[in-house]
Amino acid sequence: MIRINNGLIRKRELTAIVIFLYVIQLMNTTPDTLIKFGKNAAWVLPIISFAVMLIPFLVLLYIVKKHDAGLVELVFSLLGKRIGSFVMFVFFLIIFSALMINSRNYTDVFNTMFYPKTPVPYLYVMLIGASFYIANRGLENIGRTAWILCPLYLFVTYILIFFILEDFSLERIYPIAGPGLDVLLKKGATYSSIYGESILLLALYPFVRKFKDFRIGVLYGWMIGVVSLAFFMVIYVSIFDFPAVQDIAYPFQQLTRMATLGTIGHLESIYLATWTVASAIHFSIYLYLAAFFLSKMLKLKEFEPLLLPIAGLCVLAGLISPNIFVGNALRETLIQTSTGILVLFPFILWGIDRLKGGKKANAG
Amino acid sequence: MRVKWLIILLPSFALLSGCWDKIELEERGYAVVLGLDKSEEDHMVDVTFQIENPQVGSTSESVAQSEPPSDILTITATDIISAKELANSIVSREIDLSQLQTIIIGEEFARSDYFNNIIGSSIRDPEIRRKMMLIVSKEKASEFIHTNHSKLETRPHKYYSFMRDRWKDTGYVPLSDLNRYFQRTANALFLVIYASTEKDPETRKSSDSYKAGQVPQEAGDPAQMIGSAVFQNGKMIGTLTGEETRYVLLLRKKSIANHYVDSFKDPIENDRKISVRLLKVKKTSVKVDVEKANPEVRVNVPITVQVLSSPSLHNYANTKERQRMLKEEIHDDLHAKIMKLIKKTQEEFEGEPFVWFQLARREFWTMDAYEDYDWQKKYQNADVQVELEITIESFGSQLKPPHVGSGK
Repeated sequence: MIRINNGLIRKRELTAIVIFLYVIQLMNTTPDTLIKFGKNAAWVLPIISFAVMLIPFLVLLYIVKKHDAGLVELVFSLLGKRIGSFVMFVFFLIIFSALMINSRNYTDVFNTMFYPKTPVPYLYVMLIGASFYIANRGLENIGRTAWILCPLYLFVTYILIFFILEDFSLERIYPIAGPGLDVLLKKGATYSSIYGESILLLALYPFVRKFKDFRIGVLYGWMIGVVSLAFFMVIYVSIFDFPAVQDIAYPFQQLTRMATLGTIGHLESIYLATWTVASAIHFSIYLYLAAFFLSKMLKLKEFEPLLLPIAGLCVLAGLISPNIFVGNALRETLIQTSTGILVLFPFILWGIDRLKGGKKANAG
Repeated sequence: MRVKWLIILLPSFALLSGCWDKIELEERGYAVVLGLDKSEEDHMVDVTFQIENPQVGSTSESVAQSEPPSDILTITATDIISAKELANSIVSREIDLSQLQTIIIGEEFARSDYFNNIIGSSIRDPEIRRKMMLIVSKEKASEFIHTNHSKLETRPHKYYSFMRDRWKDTGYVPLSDLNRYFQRTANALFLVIYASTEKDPETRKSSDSYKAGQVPQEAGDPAQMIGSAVFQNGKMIGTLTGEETRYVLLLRKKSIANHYVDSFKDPIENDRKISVRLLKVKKTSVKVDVEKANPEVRVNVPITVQVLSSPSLHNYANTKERQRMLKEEIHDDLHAKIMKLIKKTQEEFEGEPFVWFQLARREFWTMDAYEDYDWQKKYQNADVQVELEITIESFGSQLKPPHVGSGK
């Protein structure tokens, strides 16, 4: 069936976008950060973070449904132009710094594990260049690219388990509570903004065909992301064992280096290919969101022209950090601060909405 | 005009980007075996590379007929990576560790404190893979590599990869790779394959209780790989014989070697032996109780026996009584040896190689509680009881022993 291109995305495309936003976390430095605090029970953390972030997301979803407007329109109509612009700036800052820090981390992984002699700036430009190319073609294209590649991506990721089954032993995840339940709950909550993008995705509501498509699309993709991250965290601990897993810098990349298919080794080349494509899509979503929020803050009609300057700024700013350890520390700070903002913001918006709604009712 | 240049330049950026890390196949020298030895100087290590000649054993052999299958050289350096760099001042091809599968460690170096530093720091380099196999050689690793030329396998990497498969069949050696080293070194004893090219047949013992170098052998390949080197906290502390290594694998809950051939005393004619194949069809069940002052370990090993040959020519198949005798003999013999081994680990090595720490860990709620418990220390006084469940499955392809003359 030939569909008329109306610029709107559907449920499956949104799900695919969210999958590329979240599932890729199991391949980057997120597991390192989580294992640092969660020890052998780190697999619980994504589930706790999901539970914590789900509440503000549902609150915001409720307001969006009530007004049938995207996050941006809501912020401007409820908070006024000035505060609205400021909020947009904060959102832009969160997304942009996430883009900058994470893309730099990815570049470092490429550099350390696969291309030690290639200069970091060059790898960085190639990564962001590819993301810019995808983002520049608009949300519908991001969605379609994601949708086409997502089954292959998930398949290749999950099939890795069969290649490393020989070294797998589930007993290594015990003691079940790891560092203790209190630590897990606390850290899971503080790091819940590993799923903070869900809140910001509500800004894309006007580009999705129906409310139901949006709700189901995001929740499906999100849940696949949570399950995958938790699942692979179990795999990491049960392959490398605690405490050795704590010392490994990129568990996924190390795992692909251990994988063998019968006598065929060196399977990491397949994973390098899928991971490269996945990260280009991942950062194209970030780029798109960053440009979107910036244009709203500056009240520009079009935001596509902003993509290139943002991409350039990202490369320049990202190169300031000398290595991945500085990057990881920055990422932790970013996650912690943005958790506070992103968890509280929906409730503030909800309160204001109640207040204004109440006034209107009184006036009427 | 500008656009034209852009069209030419942009694709070349994308296409030529791989050239920084390009690998010319022709210029590579693939190291297939790496040897580590104690250096005479402090904080230095002797690294031996065995570099394979890809032309031998391939269709282009005719052009390189006088070349040997591999080149061996030893470099003294601070670590593996700088040794690799230095070696390139001698070897014409760029040394590549991506096909490296075997690391041989001289016993003297394994027993030194510096071993853990070298291995621990080498893993930082992505070229060192966690699946690489570790072997401890009784003599210096460089001597071992120089002497070890297999007659059946011209190319060294084939030799090691075939040997690795044989080990799964015999169970005389543990499967030891870098990943397992890092898993276990902090928690328990870690066993590494023990090998030697030096013959020491004077200490000939009964049945299988040999270590590398002790197997009575005439002619054949020079290297013997049997038994295991015991590591604790990143340092070698002792050795186990081939037989003891088998029992360790038997007592582990999950082991990769699940069947092997063993011989026992013939219960009727005591000076003869009877050969059987032992199979572990089901997993060994291990229960660890950490509630008491001294931990209790209850092990249940299900063993299936296939009788392969009985040189005494007694028929064990026909009566229940004889089957029971055979079963009892196997049980008592195995049980006594296993208990002796457990005692040895508790008193001599002060730790366990059976990976029971994983099961002990299950009993705790948090990691801190487990670490406070100090399993390695508690194990020394643990009350271990082993139960063997033996089933005789088959008696081979003969119904009765063959009749000679009047027969029995």
